[in-house]
Amino acid sequence: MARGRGDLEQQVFATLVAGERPMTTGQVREALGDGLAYTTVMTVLARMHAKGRVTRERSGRSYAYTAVDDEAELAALQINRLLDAHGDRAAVLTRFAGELSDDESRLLRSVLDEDEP
Amino acid sequence: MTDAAVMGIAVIVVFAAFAPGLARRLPPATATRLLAPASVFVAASGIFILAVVAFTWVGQYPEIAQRGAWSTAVLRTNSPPAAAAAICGVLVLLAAISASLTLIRRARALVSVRRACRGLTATGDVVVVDDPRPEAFTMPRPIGRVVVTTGLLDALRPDERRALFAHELSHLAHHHAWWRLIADLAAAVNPLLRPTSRSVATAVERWADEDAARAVRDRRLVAHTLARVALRQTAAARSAPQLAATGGDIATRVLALLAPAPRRRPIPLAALIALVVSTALPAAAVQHSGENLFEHAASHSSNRTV
Repeated sequence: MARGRGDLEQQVFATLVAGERPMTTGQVREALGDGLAYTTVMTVLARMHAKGRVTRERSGRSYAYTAVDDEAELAALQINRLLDAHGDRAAVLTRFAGELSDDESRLLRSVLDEDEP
Repeated sequence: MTDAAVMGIAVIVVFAAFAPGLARRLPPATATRLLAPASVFVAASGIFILAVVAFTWVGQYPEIAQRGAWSTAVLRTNSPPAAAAAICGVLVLLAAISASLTLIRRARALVSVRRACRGLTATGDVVVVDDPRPEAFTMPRPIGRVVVTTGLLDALRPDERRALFAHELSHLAHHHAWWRLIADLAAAVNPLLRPTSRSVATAVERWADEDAARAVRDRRLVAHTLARVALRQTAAARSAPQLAATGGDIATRVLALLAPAPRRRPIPLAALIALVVSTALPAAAVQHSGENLFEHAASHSSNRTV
């Protein structure tokens, strides 16, 4: 049966949702029951993790995966990744304010106090 | 040629030292529009000078001299010292590598930001994210989204929110991230231009601040909003990691907003333009003397063969 990457992702996702508990790569592969190569399932899961569609936790020597079911939860994960941006990713964003040094904090506090009517 | 090259480098050092200071005296939009292209121009003329000097050395290799049909002996006697020329060549190479790396890293960063932003529901250009961290930032076009957390919105009054959105939408409207990228690339080519690139980063923030002040018709409101958000973010940073980006020099921005609106100032403007133009003159002189040098070497070479 020929199927695209997207199809396989959908099936893995459905399997994880149906499983209702974190599943390792081996468990996902068993549940899919198509005789898929272990590395294929591993690649799909890694890709889904990169997209934020699944979360994972250490389970022995491999990972156990959980589907990120809720759309809001998915958005939050993505935004977490955005907010944790460093280096060049941070450099392409224009941020409204930012952290202050202790001196700057003192300066701004005193300026605000003075300026209050 | 050596004189012109040394003069050229000196003028670039003068630009790097004084341009940021002059730019601070200008209205921020003018400063950005002038300083970002100027830094590219200065970076380019620096590379040009180094490349011409380096080529006087490369041209002394017999294989290359043969191809160009010039005399290596004449070239050697009239060229800058070989060691200096070789250093120039290495600098050109390093600059090319550094600029390419910066470009590639930024392009990849944009792609990954775009990916992270897929699936977020936006109202117009604004995405509100349910997150306790007080955060607001803009993703440049073509992504073109303003991201604000509920943690920040809840902490602001309605008039402060208006000031915040006016600031962020100015970033989108005037493509501020791209001005910054231009200046960062120039600084990647020539590290002397790093202060210039930092002052462009602050200038685009000031530009958005001034736009916001005009939109809400209240400079103090924007100043207070900015200061309060910065203090809140500073406090939040103690408990959780924050976005690594900074909105330029925040204290400078607040103080500028509490002062009267910036006026057009012809003298710093003229001085800055003169500085940019003056970097072009030694580069032109280097080009001229380089041409003469190779023509001279070529005429000697053909005399010999005739």
